Amino acid sequence: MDDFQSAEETAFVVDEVTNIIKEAVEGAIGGNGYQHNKVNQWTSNVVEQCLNQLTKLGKPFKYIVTCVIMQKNGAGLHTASSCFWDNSTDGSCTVRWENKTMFCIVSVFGLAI
Amino acid sequence: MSSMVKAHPVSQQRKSSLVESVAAGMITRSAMVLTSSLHTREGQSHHVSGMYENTYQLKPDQIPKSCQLREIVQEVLTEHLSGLTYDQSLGVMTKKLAEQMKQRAKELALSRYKYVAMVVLGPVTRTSASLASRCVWNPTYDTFGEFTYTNHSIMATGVLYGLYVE
Repeated sequence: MDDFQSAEETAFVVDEVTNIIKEAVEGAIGGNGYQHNKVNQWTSNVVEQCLNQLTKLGKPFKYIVTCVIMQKNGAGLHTASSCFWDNSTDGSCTVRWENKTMFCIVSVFGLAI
Repeated sequence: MSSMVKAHPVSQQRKSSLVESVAAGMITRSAMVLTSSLHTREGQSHHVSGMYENTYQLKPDQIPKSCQLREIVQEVLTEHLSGLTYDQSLGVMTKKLAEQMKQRAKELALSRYKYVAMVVLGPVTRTSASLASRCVWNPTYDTFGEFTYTNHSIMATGVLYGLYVE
């Protein structure tokens, strides 16, 4: 028989990914207030953590993870994304996290190989 | 003489997600989740969507250049944003920008490539922001292009990723 993995193993499971993102963000910037000199390191940490956990899932996916951290100062921010992919196998997930001093928006795109 | 035999047509729809940040002083810590509309797809949730013949092809015919993708982002951003002032209605414009970037990428007509376009747009104020991105992919075939456009009142960053379907 042809080998194919079951649908659960090869689909983009949004809930799983959401949890991974939340944990990564909490772990990297959880109780901190906004600090300009650390923000670059934080974004890198969040993204790396997410990616490490995602690869541990062991699914046949390519991942793109982006993270925007912004100070809360009354300014607004708009983000949009548009993707040309295969609807049945690929997916994305965006988590918006905030505390008293900053916002963090993490997007994960998963594209099946 | 190889041909692709598709059992079911693969649907490729535009996917856009719009996130707006609003300063809310009362919220101490919260998370909001936005997901793609994956749950609303109709029909079977089977992964195998069709039977394909082997192409015996290991590499893509043509790999998009990172400068090509960057040019697309640059053109789209400068074309649509030059002369504009920031206001709330630019949320719709952000979606349009992402859509435009994806359209232009499709016009490159490279076979077996998927594209992800992302735009982050904000006003020029004293606020500082940091954007980071990292990918797990094949660095020989996959690439990206990014560009940041600023004028006196708008700051916009666009990133366009091109990924090979193996």
